[in-house]
Amino acid sequence: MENNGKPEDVQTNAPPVVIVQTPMPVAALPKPPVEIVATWRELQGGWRVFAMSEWIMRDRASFFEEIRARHDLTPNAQTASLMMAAVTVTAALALAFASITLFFWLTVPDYEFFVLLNVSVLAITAWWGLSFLRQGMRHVQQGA
Amino acid sequence: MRRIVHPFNIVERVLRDRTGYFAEIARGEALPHRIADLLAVTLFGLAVFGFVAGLSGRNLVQALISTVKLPSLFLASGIICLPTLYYFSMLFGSRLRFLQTVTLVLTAQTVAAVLALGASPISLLFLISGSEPLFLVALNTSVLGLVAVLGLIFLVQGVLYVQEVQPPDKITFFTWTWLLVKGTFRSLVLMGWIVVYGLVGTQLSYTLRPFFGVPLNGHDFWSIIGSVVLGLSKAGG
Repeated sequence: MENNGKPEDVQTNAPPVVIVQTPMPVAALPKPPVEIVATWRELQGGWRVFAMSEWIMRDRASFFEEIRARHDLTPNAQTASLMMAAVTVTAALALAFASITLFFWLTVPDYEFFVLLNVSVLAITAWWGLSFLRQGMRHVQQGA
Repeated sequence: MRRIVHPFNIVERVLRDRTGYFAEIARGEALPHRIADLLAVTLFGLAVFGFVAGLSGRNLVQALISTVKLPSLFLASGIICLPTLYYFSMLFGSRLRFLQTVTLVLTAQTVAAVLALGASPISLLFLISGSEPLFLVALNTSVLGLVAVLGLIFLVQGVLYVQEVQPPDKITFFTWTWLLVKGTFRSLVLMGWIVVYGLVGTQLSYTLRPFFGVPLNGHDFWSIIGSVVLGLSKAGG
């Protein structure tokens, strides 16, 4: 490599570079445990309601188990939770039928047909909501 | 040209290797892209068939209106019934996610659209050869009914496959039947949903009438719009 006419003492007067070898840590420092929370708990805002209803319907066994295992809940609170969950299921199913009901309301001028449709929808949704409540009650009362 | 033809690749995939396609949906691979492709093919196929079928009334304006009405009929039926399928499947333990449900419903409509597109030259041939309007109406209605049923078969197979934890590698007719019987309540819900979907589809087609063969002089909303367009075109011409 060329020196480009620089005197040699410029390089010799430069401060020495000291490389300090830091010892490698024997083992990585233990990280604090990360709490894994269910997806529906992470969601915020109005969508959380839908995520909650999805969790209740998709994995009802774990939902019932959580209610049963929560010792800070009084029996009345457990019953209220199950009843509210049943109402949530009924409401979610009724919501699923809303588009169909709206469509028939817009296109069929027959009032009696509309009444029959709504009663049928509410009967179906209430039936499955109550079925959900019965399953939840059975699960929570196991071994009680 | 390649961009235009690109969405049709998914049709080949669905029709030639449906189990592989359903497996990809079950894994949730590129669902938004698939939905866009399926939507494009559905719109194109049904628009072409709607135009050809609309010509059976010997009226270009009606054919143009049917070009818009037929894709709208299928897509609106799917959108109206989608929440019911999703929530009821979820209640009965299905593993279907929302985008997977959308993809499967659109797959059924794409299959129907492609088959209708394939039948368009036949309908056009009978139209050019001077067949009776009533025969053309019967032909086009039969084609639409047939392709809708065939599309729904794909939907049923897709739902049955995706909700299996360990789906079989090779699937025959008897395997599909076994999957349907094994699903019990889930299968019953699916069949019930298909009945509701059919009711909504027929009611919507009654609302959007006439599609073809009948002149645009009815008293329903869409006919009035068609008559207005017809009048404007005559005034402009």
